[in-house]
Amino acid sequence: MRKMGNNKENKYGSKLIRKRPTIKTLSHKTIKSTIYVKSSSPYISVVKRVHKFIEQLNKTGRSPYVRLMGIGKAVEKTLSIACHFQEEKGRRVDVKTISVDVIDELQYQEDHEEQEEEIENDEDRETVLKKRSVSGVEVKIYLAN
Amino acid sequence: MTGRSSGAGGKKQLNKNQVFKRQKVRNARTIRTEALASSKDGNDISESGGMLKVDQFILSRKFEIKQLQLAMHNSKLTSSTRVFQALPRKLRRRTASHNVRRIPKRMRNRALREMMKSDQQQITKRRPKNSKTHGLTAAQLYKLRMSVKLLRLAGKSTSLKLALPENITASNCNIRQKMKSLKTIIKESKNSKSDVIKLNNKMGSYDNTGMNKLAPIPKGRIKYFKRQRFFTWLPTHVWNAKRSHMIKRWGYQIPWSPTQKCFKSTHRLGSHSAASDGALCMDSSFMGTMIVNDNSPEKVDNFLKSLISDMTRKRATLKKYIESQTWFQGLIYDTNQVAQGPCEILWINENSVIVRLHPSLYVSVFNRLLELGKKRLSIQDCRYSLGSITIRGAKALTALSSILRSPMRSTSFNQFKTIANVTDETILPQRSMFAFECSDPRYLSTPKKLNTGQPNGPSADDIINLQTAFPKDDIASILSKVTDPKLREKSYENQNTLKGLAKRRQQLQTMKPADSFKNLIPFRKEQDPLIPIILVRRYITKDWVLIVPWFWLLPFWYQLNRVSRVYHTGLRQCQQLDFEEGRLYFPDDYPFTKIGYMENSLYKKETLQAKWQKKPVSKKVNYAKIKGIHFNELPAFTGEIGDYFSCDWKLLQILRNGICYLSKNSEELKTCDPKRTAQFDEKTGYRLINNLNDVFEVYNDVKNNVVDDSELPIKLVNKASSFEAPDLMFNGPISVSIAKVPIPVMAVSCSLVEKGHAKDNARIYRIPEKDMGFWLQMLKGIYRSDGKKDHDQEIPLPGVQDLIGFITSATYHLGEGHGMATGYIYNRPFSDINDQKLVLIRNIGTNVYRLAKWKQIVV
Repeated sequence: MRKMGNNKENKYGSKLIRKRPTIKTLSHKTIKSTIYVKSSSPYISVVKRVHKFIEQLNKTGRSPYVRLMGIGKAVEKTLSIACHFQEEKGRRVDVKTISVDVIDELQYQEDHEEQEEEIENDEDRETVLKKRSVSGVEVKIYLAN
Repeated sequence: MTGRSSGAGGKKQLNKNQVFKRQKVRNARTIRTEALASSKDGNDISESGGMLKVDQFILSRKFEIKQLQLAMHNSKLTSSTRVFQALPRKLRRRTASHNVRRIPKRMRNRALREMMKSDQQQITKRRPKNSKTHGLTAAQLYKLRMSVKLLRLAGKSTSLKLALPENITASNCNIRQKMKSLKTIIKESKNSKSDVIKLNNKMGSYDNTGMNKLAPIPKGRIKYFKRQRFFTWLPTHVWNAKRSHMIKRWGYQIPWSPTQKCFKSTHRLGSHSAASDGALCMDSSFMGTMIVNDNSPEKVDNFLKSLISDMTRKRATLKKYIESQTWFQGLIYDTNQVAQGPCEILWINENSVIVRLHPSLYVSVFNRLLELGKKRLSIQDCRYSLGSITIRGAKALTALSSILRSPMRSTSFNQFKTIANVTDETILPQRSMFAFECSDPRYLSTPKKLNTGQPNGPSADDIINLQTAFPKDDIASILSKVTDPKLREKSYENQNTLKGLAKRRQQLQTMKPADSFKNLIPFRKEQDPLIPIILVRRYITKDWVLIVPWFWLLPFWYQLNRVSRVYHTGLRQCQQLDFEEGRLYFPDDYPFTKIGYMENSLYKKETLQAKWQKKPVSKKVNYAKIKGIHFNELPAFTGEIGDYFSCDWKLLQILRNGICYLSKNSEELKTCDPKRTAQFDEKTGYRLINNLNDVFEVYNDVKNNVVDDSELPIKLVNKASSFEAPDLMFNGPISVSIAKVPIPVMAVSCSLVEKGHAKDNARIYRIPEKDMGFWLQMLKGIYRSDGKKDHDQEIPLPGVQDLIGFITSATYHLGEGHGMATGYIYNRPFSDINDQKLVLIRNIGTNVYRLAKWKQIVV
């Protein structure tokens, strides 16, 4: 959960407070086989993690592939990692485009002005959630060719 | 080869145990052979060399084979392990090696076999000792017999379903009196007189609410009354006391920290959901709950609303909290508008509100409300009638959903179902509250994941629905059930005993068809109790609070702790997580409140001081003789500045006020006047303040005064714009007023730039303007010619006048990978020149300054 750099008002009179992360649920299978690539995650460390996952999955056989998920800004990084494994390492790689629903938290300016004066902290304002679709890629790196 | 000598070759050094173990294994594996010299002639072959001495040859081969077999056997034995060694830490018990009952049932047979092998004595059931050898005096024996009788009577009273009378728990009456009153109660109940309270269950649960008065301590088992005279037990006390270190504070016995080491696991499970795959839970029933109702007939003037508004500086009565029913977390203020501490508020409707408070300030707030709201308010003291569990971590929702089952149709429960497997709860709306009636959690024989019907988890629309389709009526009806003493009492009706549950479970097992659902005892609509619960996500502290009636808490707690990767925690872990996430922990990080101030300058100070005094002289840091702390030295003090064992807010107040006074006409600050000694006013006899040394003399005058909380030296200011110069001329002579006028401070979280980490009570200095260049260079990093960072820099020292604050809690931050510190600074005079937000931090008793960046914590 990161605060937005520019929380300026837009034309609808609302203010974007924060972008929320994608919805994740608890599943032991995905914990051991899925990596969410962020735009800020370093390239090499993701590559190393994929190697580590492949090693572990070879032992346990929980899943036939390692799954990389990247949305928005992280798509390019995810694809370049996929290329690395396809070209350099000669592994079978599947790429699928996906679209993911994410949630934004918006803040509308209060209608009644008497309330407006009383509110000192932004924390005390009510917020509204809004759905937004983001496109991304899902990369499957297979253990066996 | 010993461990020490092997260490010389760059190998890992072994400790004593490892060396012993290794030697043992090695001894076991060596195969003895017959020495050549041991046989008479020294050889199997005859002197001439042509003949074999068959008998001797066979004997020595026989010996070798025997030794080989022995060595195999021995080496197998040395590495053998016992079954209790294979258990996870959570299930290990101190006496498991010789008491099989400490080992889980499925492993007991193996444990018994192992014990037989090693000739261990088995512990059987304890036999009653011979009465002649009990070793008691006649008086002791009499007392014991009496208490047996007393327990019997008490047992009779609960089996007659009567609540125990109040004077049974009183500390001042003796056993005889207690028995007498018990007997009269039993007699009266037989005559069916009406002034006995009848219980509605076999467990002895009842609703213990104080209506417009403080509630008496809950009556549990009579055996344990004496131990709870001053410090009440939480519902889970017996469970926690076996697994945690407990502390006695604020009228409760509270788990402090699990006996098992858990610093790293707490960080991993509790702080960020991405790294977490478990949950941390804690019995937070020591947090006091009160329910305030406005029962005045005309509700035009909104008495309750204005009261709450006053107490929270107009925050908790905003639309977000009253109409939208968002859980409020913020500061509570007393009548003089001084912050008292954190509080939590939930509005049930316009006329009633739930207030949740820390036990240290509960009684004062309760009494204040009682006094203010005479006749108009009715206040329930629910300290001992509502318990709560706090749970956090990625598995929190999964764990909760695997023990909660609602047999009634409920929209709120259905909503809860949709998010039952969510790990990262930051996606949820700010108001995330669920309230429903659930069945006894013990009906589930093992906690089982709730079937949500959505294999891929909730969609974004489901999450938004939580906000837009908030089932207000549904929740209101449950809230009214939780807040009504009679309905709470009703929830205990037919509360099952373990025996009763086991009976029903047995029936379930033998029932046909054989493949039917056997994990859950089916709910019987007419007889079985329904428990109203509230589950709230606290937005600021990022955890869940489950509020249940007091005597229902234990079943929930037992089941919750059976879910895998759910760990129990104590107050220490709360503090750790608050620190890691840059929040303030009450009371340690709240020196601007009375309770926090006393905690710092009395409770913690005395503990640290006593610890220091116990040390031998050679190990004691001599704080008064530490050199090279400041660039300027004053005659008024030597060595460490201020009190050595606490954050000395009094010093900060006098110093900052004094400097403010001395430089009021933008004069240059004089440190001391070598020609003159201290000066006093001729008429009044008060000290005159002409230079910095005089300010410290004022501090020396007052430092040994008794600490009192009537006037706090600091006050919290959240906005830089509201930092204003204290009015020093207001309170008479200057040497009195600088020790009286509180200074404004702001809460900050500092992160250290370089190596090293701060400790509690460290001192914060501002960077003098002359040294700014050096420290900015330090921020970028000063490098040696080989490209490595140079840490051996000569550091320019600040002066005593640069002291601007203290660190309340600090240590190494596992997540950030460097030192972090929470503290308070007096920021006013240089906020404009210090855009970089840099400060220097120095630990007590050292003269090393560390550069740190600070950012404000808005309280």
